[in-house]
Amino acid sequence: MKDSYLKKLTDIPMEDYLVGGHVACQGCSASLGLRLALKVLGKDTVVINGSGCMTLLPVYPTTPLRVPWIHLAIENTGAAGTALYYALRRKNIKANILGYAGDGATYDIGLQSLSGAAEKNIDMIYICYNNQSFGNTGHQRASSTPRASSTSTTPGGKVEVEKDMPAIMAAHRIPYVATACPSYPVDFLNKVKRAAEVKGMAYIDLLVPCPVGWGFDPSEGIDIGRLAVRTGIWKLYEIVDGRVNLTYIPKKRRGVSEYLRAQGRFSHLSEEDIGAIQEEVDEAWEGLEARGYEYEIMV
Amino acid sequence: MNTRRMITGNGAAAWGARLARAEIIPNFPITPQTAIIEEIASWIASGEMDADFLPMESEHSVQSALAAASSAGTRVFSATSSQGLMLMTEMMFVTSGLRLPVIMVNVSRGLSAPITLWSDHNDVLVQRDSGWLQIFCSNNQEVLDSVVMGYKIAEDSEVLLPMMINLDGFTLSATREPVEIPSQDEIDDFLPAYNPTHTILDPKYPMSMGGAVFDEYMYFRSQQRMAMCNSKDVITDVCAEWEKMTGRGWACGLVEPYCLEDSERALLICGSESATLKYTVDKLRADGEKVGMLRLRTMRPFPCEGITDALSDVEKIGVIDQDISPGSGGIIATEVKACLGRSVTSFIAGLGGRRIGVEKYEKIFGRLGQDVEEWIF
Amino acid sequence: MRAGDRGRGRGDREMRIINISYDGANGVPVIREPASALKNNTGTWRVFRPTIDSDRCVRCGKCWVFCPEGAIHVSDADIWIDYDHCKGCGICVNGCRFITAQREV
Repeated sequence: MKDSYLKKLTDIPMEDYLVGGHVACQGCSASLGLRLALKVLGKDTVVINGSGCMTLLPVYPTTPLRVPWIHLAIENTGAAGTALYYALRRKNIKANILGYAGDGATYDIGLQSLSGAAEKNIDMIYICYNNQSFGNTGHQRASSTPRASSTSTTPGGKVEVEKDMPAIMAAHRIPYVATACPSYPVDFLNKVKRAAEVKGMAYIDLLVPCPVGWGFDPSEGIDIGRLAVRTGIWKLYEIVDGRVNLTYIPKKRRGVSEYLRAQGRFSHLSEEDIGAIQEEVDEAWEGLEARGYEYEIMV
Repeated sequence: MNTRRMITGNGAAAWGARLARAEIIPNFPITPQTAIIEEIASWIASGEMDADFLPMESEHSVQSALAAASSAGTRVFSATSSQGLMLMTEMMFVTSGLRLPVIMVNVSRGLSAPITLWSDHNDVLVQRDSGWLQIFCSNNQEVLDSVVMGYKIAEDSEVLLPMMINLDGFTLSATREPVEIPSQDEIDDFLPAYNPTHTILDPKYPMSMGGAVFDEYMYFRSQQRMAMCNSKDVITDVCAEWEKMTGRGWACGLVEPYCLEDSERALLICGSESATLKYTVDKLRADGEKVGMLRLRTMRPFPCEGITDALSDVEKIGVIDQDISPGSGGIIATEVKACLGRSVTSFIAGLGGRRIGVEKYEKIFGRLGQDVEEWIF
Repeated sequence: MRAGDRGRGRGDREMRIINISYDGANGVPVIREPASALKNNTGTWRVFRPTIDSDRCVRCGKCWVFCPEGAIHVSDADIWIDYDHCKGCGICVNGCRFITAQREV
């Protein structure tokens, strides 16, 4: 690992480019994710936002940002990034282009535009802050919503399995794809650093537990994220050149019920349902173990 | 040095963008516009034009890219048509709301369903309230001139609104006409480089754009209305300057009167159909009939003063609409009635490229003043 | 850019805007002052007030990293909470033995 990479929490830069005073909810992990990402990307960064919770960070006439920020609409973060890449090049402005959009804006309505930018391999960092629902409108079902999760539009629990967005992005043969969670900030920020270093498009799927939508106390966001990883439900990995590499392997996986029972959105599940989810997770990890936690997903 | 060439309306649009030194060209193909972006692509490939050609994945993305690149302070250009313009609708309001002087050509084409390739003005008029300046061109020379003038108008600090320049599909887009192409030096003197201060995306001057507002919303919207009002003088001034340079002033920008001085009957029209109507006016005048025409050049800003001045002494007025609002009738007729505050006969004709022609114009003049409010030809 | 209340063109007749203007606004919805949100006191949202026992604090940095508001400040010598912007989410309290919460009065 290069020297410039972070090894411990206190290696994280002090400077904040996203400050307080904004109207994100108490305990919002999405604003935390942006705050952390900007720490390592630094002041020479332009943020493009797709409509969602984070769109309400700048509310006229005040902004919590110290870097340029533009929001156009929900479904065009990729297109705006493409244009901005060329425009900044023409203006001789050297800056990281950070797309920061929610999962609804990424997995669903913005997929076409993101795919266009990925196919062109635009040199930008795209972080999907994934709260597994249309969060800003009040936690409606999205294609990122995991199976069994209840939402305001799937009160009985979602039937379908969520989209494998990192695999879709990897299929564009972009140089860097990763998943992350702000509960593991060193892992997350090293991935952001790597994303900034690669030439071309980098995609990071950032799991951001949402107290309001998922139904837990605002003080528990970091714990919930940690449980998502330690139970093996949210896997932390990178995909480089079609090769998946797990960056965190829980030594002893915790039972999924610990994660599921902590959230209102899974409160309707029976012990049987939870058992079935546990079986699925176990099976997936046995497969991963058999492959040495590293495998090709593309030919 | 100026050159004169036989080029299509699409070619003229592309020349306008090239002379104006547009830097970023996001695009998506759609009939009958595609030849514009193909021409630009070939110039960029051959090194004759210095711009970035961005093939996008949809028109929505094209408009998003226009807005983003313009926000960063580059001069942008694109072209679209019909369904493509419809897909852009959401972003049209964003571009004007952020006060970005984007120039986009629309090659008008009727809207689906049923799907058609031929021209009418419904696509443009759907965007009537989007906060874009809208110019209707009557010939290929006007297309080139309007694109270059468009940047000067849109980028004026008292305007700062995007502009859509409309040319009729096929009748102009695919028809060759002699077009005077000004020299690059001449245009460089006329149109300075775009260096905005109202929007920049530069870490040296961090701004937040496109954030939410509360009560201020009405302030910003009313300022767009203000900018539209201001644009009338700017259009007139820029056209006057252009006339001095090229000899073509396009009747000072907003409306073009034709034989109205002693007219008893007159028709208001926009776009390329005005050429046939002029011919008809000449023909009827040769027979001693006192008829005239008024061509609406800008739909937005709506030139109510110009229309009032030109038509106040005309007894019978008709409006030709190449568009239809099924619940109301001709869209432009409705606006003209509201502006003049008197009775105006509405003629809806030429939808989906249906031929109008001299005979039909003669019939329309004949029906002017009969006790019917709306005719669909 | 000019901001005004009268449309040009036909002078006063065409349009007049009554009583809609903002100090410093120039018609473009852009926010030019970086970090100006610090003027907003989101500390009023707080129900539970976190307090750091700075004598026992080991400066591990966890609370500072995980604060979504960036409201915890650390230096080698000191650690403190910016109560004007702490919304009282309790993430820091949950993550540290030396931070306690009391109900605001």
